[in-house]
Amino acid sequence: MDCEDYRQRIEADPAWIDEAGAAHERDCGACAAYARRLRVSERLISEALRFDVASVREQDGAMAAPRRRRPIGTTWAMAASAGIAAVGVWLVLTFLPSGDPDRLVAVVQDHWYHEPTSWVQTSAPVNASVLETALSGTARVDLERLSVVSYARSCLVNGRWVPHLVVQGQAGPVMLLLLSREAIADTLPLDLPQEGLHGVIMPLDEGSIAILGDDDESLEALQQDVAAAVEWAI
Amino acid sequence: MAPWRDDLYRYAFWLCRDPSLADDVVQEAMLRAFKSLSSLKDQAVVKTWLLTIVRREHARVYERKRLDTRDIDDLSAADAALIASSEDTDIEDMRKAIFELDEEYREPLVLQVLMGLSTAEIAEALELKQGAVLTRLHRARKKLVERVSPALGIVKE
Repeated sequence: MDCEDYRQRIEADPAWIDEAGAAHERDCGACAAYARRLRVSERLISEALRFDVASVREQDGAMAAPRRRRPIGTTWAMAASAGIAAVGVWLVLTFLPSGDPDRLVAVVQDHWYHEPTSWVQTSAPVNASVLETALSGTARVDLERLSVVSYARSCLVNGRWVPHLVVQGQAGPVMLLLLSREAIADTLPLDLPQEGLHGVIMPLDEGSIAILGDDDESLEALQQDVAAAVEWAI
Repeated sequence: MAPWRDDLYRYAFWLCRDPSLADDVVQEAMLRAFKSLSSLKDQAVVKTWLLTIVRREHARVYERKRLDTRDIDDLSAADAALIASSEDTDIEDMRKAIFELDEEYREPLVLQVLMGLSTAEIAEALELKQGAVLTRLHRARKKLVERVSPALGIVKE
């Protein structure tokens, strides 16, 4: 893979990584730096697209009133009908079997395959500024409560940029995804038997945290340590 | 319900770049979704199902009202307010840059970043080949980086 191929690929999907891409990023300082900068601008793109709907509607309502041609009665009737329809859609969807937790589990498990270079047993902690960048705006982590954090990166998971950390557990590396905006009702099990990995996605306040480690890793102790160490910053 | 309704509104806005029109599109789309709920059998595909309805409704609105595509120089007060609704000037610059992107680049980017669709799902939604989606996403980001990078201190190598 050359620089042009690599850059085209990450410009199409900054979260993309495969073995060839990881090798190129390791060997080419310029591309590694380019990828880091691209991921910074990606965070901006995401923020720019997610404007605050309520305040925009409020402003638009105030500004647009004179230029709306629809009679007020029609507008109200339409809004009411759409509101009723929205409630109807919601009610029906609520009683359909939910696919979202399954999707979250699948996306999280799939993400483990994205960054093979992160999966190493080491006593070397990740650079503090790299960790800071990965966490920025999402969470604060009390490092005293965790073992060595050996890897940190901001990754696109289920449509959102989230901190992806690797900590060193009792039985080897453990992947943590800090899913600050993925609210779940109950703990979801993760299982990759072909890789000898297991884990959970556990709820934490308004978000959740995915923990994936070796089959021999004690999940209970890890869950407690992680829950005590992470605090959402948003 | 609120999270996906907000995202649908955002998607509609980034399609038409007009807050009022986006409201109309989402309202009409909700009515159509309600009428065709019986065709939805699996909630796992609800997001792409609703996106398709919004996308079609957006096309219908344009056809019906014979609206022209928008130019950045034709910003309404509401558009300008939306673009400037962030206190962060970097986000404001990026929003402006996205606003200016051609629809063929803007839509796949919105579907990927905002709606979390994979390139395969985007290809299906836009009836394109996956390679074409990758090219459009690559070009979209290239244009955004070229436009916004100087303000962020990013130098394109």
